[in-house]
Amino acid sequence: MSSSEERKLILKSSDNEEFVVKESSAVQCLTIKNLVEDRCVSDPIPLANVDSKILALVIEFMEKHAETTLSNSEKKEFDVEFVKKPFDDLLELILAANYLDFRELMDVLCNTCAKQMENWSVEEVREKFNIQNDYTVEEEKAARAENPWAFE
Amino acid sequence: MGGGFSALANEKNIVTHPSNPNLGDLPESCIALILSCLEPSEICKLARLNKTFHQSSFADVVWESKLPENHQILVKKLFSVEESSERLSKKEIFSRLCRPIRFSGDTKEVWLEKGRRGICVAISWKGMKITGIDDRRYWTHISTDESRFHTIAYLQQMWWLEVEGNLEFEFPAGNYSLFFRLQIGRTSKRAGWRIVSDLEQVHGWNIKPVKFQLELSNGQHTTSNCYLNEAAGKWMHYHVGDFVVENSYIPTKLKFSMAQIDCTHTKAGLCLDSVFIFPSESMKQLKQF
Repeated sequence: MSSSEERKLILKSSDNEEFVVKESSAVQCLTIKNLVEDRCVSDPIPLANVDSKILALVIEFMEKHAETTLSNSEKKEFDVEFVKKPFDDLLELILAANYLDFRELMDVLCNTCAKQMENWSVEEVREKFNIQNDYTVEEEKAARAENPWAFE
Repeated sequence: MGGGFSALANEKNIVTHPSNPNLGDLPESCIALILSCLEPSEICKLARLNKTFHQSSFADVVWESKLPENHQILVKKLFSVEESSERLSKKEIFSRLCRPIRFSGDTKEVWLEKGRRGICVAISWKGMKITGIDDRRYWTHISTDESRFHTIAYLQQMWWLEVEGNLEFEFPAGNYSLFFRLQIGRTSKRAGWRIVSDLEQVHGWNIKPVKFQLELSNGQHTTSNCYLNEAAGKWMHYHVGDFVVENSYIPTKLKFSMAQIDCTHTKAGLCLDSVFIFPSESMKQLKQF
C-alpha cells in the first residue's frame, strides 16, 4: 500500500507543534477515533493537554503497535524498552493516554507503575514518589485496620 | 474548529495539566487502573497512601478482572437473599468470595483463591454417602481442628469401604483436580504434642489398592487405583482425577467415590476428612490443610 493512499491526520500539541500521523494508527486513541467517526475532524486536531515531547512518544508507541508486520512478542520487546523512562515522563504519558483514551498504552504504563510500587511499605512509597499523606492519625489507623481478609 | 473536541475534554473532567505531575495528582480513574495491575494485598496496602488512592481502591475496574467470569451466578447461589439483591461492588463481592462460604446444609465450602483467581470447593464427609457410617462398630465421628469442617470420620475396621458423593456447582471454565483428604491412623494431642495413637490397629491398606473414581454428567470419567501406603499420622491428598469445565454458566455435575470392597481382607485405621476440588494449576501449591 503506497503511503499516498493512506489517510493522514495532523495532531497539534499544546505547544503548537504539528505531527502528521496515519489515521489508521491514530484511531487506536478512542478520542480521535470518535472524532473521525463523527466526522468532526478539524485540521489540525488540537490536543490542549499534551505537549510535543509527550505527543512524540505517544505517536512512536501508536505507530509501532499499528504495524501489522510485527508479532506480539516483538511489540512486547518494544514496550519493555519504551517504558525505560524517567518516572515523571511515565506519569505525563499516563495523563496523555488517559486524555486520548489510548487503552493499549495505558495498560503498559499502568503495569509499569504498578511494578515500581509493589513490595514497598506505604511509607517507602510515599517517600519514593513524593505522595502527600492527607490522612489524620485516626483516619490512618482506621485505614490500617481495613481489609484484613486481603492479608490472610 | 475543535469546538467539539474541547467539549469532550471538559466531559472527561481532566485535571489541568500540572507542570510536574506527581503520582498523587493522577485522576482516580488512572490510579484505579494502576491498582488493578496489583495483587489484592498490595491494593489494600497502597489504598493507605492517601485519600485518592483509598477512594480509587473501591473502583469496580480494580476488582473486576480478579473475579471469576460467572461471579454473578455465584453471588446469587451463595450469598443471602438480601445481600444478592443489593448492588454489591466488585470489591465487596471479591472480599466475600475469598473467605470460605458454606453451602449445602453446611457440608460444603467454596472460596476464591486470592492469588490465582480459581474457585475451590471442599466437601465434608458429612456430605457424602458412606456405607455403615452410623454403625459404631465400623465408624466413629471425631471432632478435630485438623479439618476445616471440624469433624472427621474414623474407620475402625470394616470389610466394605465405600464412600460416595456428588456435587453440582457452577465452576468457572478451566481445569480442575479432585482429591480425597485422608490419613492413615489416628492422632491425638497429648501435652501439646501430636501423636499417632492405635497404630497397631492399622491394617489392610497394602493388600489391595483403593479404587477412586470421578465421573461427570458430560461423560468425563477417571479411575485410579492407589495403595494407601503413606506414613501414618499424616494427612494426604489422594488425587482422584482431573476434569475440564468449558462453560461457566451451566452447573457442572459430578460424582466421586472411593471403594475397597474386597471381602477377603478387612481394612482398619483410616481417617476421612473431605474431598477437595482445586484448579489444576494450584496443585503445586497444595497445603497440608
